Amino acid sequence: MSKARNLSLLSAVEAGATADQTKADLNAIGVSGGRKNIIINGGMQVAQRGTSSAGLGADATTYLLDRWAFGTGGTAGRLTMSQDSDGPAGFANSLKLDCTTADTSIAAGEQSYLIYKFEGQDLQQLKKGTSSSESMTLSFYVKGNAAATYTAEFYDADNNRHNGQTFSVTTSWNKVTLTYVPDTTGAYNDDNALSLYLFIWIHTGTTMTSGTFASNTWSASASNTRVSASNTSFFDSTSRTLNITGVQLELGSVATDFEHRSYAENLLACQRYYEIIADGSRANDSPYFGVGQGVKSDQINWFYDFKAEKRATFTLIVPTVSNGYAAKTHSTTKSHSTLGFTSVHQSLHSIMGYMTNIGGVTEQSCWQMQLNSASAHIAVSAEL
Amino acid sequence: MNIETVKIENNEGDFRVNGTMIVPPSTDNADYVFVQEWIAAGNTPAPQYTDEEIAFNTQAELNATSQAYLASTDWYITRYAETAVAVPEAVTLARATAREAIV
Repeated sequence: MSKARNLSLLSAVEAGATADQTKADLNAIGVSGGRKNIIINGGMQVAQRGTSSAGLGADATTYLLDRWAFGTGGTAGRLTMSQDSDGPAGFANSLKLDCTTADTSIAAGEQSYLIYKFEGQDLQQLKKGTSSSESMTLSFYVKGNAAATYTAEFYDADNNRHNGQTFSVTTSWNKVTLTYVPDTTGAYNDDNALSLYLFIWIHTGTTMTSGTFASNTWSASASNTRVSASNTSFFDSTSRTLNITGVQLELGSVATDFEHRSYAENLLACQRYYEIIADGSRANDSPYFGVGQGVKSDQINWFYDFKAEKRATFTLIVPTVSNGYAAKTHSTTKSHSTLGFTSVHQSLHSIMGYMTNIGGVTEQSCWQMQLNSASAHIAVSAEL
Repeated sequence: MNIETVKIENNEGDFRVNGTMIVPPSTDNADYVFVQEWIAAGNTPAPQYTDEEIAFNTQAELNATSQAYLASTDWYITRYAETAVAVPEAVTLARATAREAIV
């Protein structure tokens, strides 16, 4: 683009162009709006829980890449979800779904989807439920093993309203842009609770498709209108794959370039929802998880300050590993197969856990708490 | 979340789910909401301790108490060895009881 054209566009901005015109003009000359992407980890960089999970398909919601989950119910289909190194130019990672067991006998109630959940307080700029409600634009890159059609649906959990649109997948990386019209009905609660879902529907029975699918229309939720009848079943063949990355949701009706953030910035944002305290399987990770204090003859309490404030009360995740968790001094080691914590002793910033059912602890003694096995692992989850 | 087992973790209302997750009693916590749905479906959480665990914990507590008593009275034995001052009969009997209690 010529300098003259750039100057012309900037002049238009100065002349008081509309918000969408301004975004389009700035995007055209390569100026980022900054902090425009409401979605965290849209580039699929962060994967604290692991990089591959196989055999998914039984009724459950499973997180792998941070903030993104695979949900399913009723299907015999199975897939592997992974962090893949394939991506469009400028993207080193994508989320990949790979069908490993087909399901071509689809019962009415079957459903499978990728899901992303938003806090209400992060959506207030959309002004939903007011007369000045704004459009929002979802953009992302997708690629499959063959042509396919899936549905991207927003579901307003505060008001039970929804709006879906279909998109196409080809065997090449393509950018999908979907603008969703404003909704003057039903505001999002301004709090830390779940207000909005993004569903990427990849497999459903007729329970979700038998009604009239009204593309890009907000309406009160009815199960049979949530997914387009043209939706492809991801489980129609074990050849099926779907890669997705560069997911961005922004205010307005213009899709601007993806807002790339550093890994560190993404990780910190993800840690509001899930944080690893210590992981024995990571060679470069510290096996230590804080300082312990003897509080009675069979219990040591341990303390850890989080790297990021948690969204809400959290769940402590501690796999059972024989002697996997230890309290040590220079000459003494106490170990146990698990740890515990009491909810009355948690805050959003820190945790006080305990190691109990161990003998010979002196009150007021001090211990270094550390993992004692490569299989041991401590994390907290405050997912929506 | 796919819930397979739920056990009462402590007296504060926390649950241990699938053996690996300790879930606090807060409706802000998505896992707790899943547990409430699981209970509403007719399931019942397992008690905090099984009879075996209660027996183990009781013995562990007794072991710790007995060991602590022995440690606190060791000086009587040292004094007797060094100065021939007799260990009080009550202490001797109590130490014997403590040793027998340790498993």
